[in-house]
Amino acid sequence: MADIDKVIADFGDMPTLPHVVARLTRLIANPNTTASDINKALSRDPGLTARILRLVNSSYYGFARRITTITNAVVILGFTQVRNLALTAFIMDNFSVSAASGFDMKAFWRHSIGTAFLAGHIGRGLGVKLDEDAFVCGLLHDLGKSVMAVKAPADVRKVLDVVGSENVLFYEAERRALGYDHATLGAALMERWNLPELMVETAREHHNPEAAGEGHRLLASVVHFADILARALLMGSGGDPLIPRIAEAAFERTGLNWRTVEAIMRRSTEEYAESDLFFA
Amino acid sequence: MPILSLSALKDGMILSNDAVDAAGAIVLPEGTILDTASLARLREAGVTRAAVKGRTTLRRRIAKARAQSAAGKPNEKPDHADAAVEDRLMRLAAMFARHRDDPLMRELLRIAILCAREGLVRG
Repeated sequence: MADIDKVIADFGDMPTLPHVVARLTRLIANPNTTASDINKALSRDPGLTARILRLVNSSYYGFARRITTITNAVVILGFTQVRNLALTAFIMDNFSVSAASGFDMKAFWRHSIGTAFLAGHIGRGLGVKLDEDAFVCGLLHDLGKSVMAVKAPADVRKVLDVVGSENVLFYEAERRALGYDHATLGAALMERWNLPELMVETAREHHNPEAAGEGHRLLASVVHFADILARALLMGSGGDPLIPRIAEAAFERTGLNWRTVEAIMRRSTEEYAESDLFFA
Repeated sequence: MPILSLSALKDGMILSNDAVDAAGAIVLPEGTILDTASLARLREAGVTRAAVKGRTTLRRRIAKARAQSAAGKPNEKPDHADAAVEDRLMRLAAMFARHRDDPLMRELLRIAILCAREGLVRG
């Protein structure tokens, strides 16, 4: 197995989390923070503010009236959700273009957005706050692929060659061609950005949720299942034309029945039609 | 956006408008995915009809076009729609081929095929 720290060092300069996202993370940790404090922090970045409001008004959130201010968004969605939207915008802006890799980044992000919708709906049925965590973990579960495509396009071409010649899943091809996979890479980057452990653990174990720490196993199971549902609905592409097998224990842990799964899939296809809202 | 009587509403359908009782009070909001509990709530509140999101638009469109074609009014669009659906079904068949013996994957494929046939899958 390759040394992931060396792999990241070989990528060269990595973008750091923007000041506003780091500041939001600090504000969220402070129990005295108000919606107005969040508004002030975001007001320094009008572009980000506009994108957050566009996402908040998408059909995924389904609010009857239009939300026009960050203060309202914070009151309705909560601090964490608004920070997650800011984080999403930052990552999509920095890891969306990779002409040289042969990797279809638009299709990749569409797959991630579909996974996020599906994970959010599954999480919503499982407990308080799990939906917001599930949404952002779904969106960023394959972060390692987008970073690899931007920073090491030649490596991605090797992986795509193995996918084509050996008819294997992308992560299997990564291990054969490079000695590591996107799950390990994405988790290592999230650790460097000091993102919450549940995001790190979910990214690392979304192909093998049983290996996640006990406190994060449910969320890893949700994202594992949502990733597979997104593939079954042909939402974008994860870089291969295949679908992994559902881990039986993960499916059982979610407590879902197939009738509910079908309803979630149908609902998510409607929201997926609006996925362009996520792109700058 | 079909409006269906209570007896025709089924699990998994999605309300396209708020379901209201005789006094105009909202019983279930737009976007609710119907299940056994929500159907019981509609019954208890005396709701007799509700609007749900269309589920068979593509099938109807194709059937209409076939009828037009049979009547000598050719229409190319449905052939494209048919071809797109067939293409998606082929992709699903190839994708799931290695999981034929797995009961969970068989169930997922069944739903994916339904969604593809109804035009919900756009990939």
